[in-house]
Amino acid sequence: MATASFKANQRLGRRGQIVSYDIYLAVFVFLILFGAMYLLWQGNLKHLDRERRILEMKYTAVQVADYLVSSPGNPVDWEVNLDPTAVGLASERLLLSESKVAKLPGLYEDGVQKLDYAMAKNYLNIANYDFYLKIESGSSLLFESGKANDSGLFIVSEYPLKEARIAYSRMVQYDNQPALLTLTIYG
Amino acid sequence: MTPTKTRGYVFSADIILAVIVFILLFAAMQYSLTEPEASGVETLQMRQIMDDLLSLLDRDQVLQSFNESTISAAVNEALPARFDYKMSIEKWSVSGETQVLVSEMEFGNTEADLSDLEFVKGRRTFVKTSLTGIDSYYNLEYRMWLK
Repeated sequence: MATASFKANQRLGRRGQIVSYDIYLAVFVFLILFGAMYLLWQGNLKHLDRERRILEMKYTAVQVADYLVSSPGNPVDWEVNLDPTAVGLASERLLLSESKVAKLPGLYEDGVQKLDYAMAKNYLNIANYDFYLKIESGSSLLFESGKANDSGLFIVSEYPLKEARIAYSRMVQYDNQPALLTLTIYG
Repeated sequence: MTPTKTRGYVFSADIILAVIVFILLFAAMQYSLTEPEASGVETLQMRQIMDDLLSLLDRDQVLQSFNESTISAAVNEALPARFDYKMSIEKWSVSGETQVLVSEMEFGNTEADLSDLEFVKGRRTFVKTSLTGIDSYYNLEYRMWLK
């Protein structure tokens, strides 16, 4: 019976065609789905990379802010010769030294020698990120430091919101009053 | 039944089955990768600010005053406006081996209903000393949340 059917198909010129349609359909479906999965996977990789980066920035901000308010830095009097190997701002835990804070990079002040931004960034140990630091009491801004542009504005204020920007705050005593120190890591 | 209508779809059947299994696995993986994960940094931030503030008030002996208006004024002045809190402090006197609850007070937003709020909770113990040793100790407990 099978032989008869085969011979009938052979006479009609349809030998093997059903198998061909089948595999074409299978390969087509596979390729479509494979392409879709590939695109989704690429999206996932970008998402994961962004998550990893944000997490790294959060923990950098937490650690650097903690060091700033807990340690005088190294050497402890780095503000005298501007020769830090680690930048800390505390004269004691949570009590900020005004003379150290004044040496952080910021807007030009006549007669005040400050740390260079690149140097401060290096000794704050914030990897490839940029930083912006502000100290405020209530609604009064007491101090700010970071990378300023030619117009005298800190670049973080212009930075696109879609980019990662992580801020972490600590409560300190500065200029004989309670104040909030906020360190922003961005980039 | 004609033989040509019932055979020859093994590849399609196979790939459909494989694709279904693959889609299920991929969907599970996708869900686990993209589900937002609480990092804990936001919670840490809130707790850290209050802990820092209490450290400063402890060092300046403001907490040891055990005066509700003095302490709440100091907290309200320093705490950023986006936060709200309530706080309670128990005062215990120490005499030899004996400890007695002398007094307790509660202040801040004591009327707040925290059942629908996400808040952080913390404790701090501090002491008041004299030349003879520890006069009394205090248990402070706070709850803090975003307004």
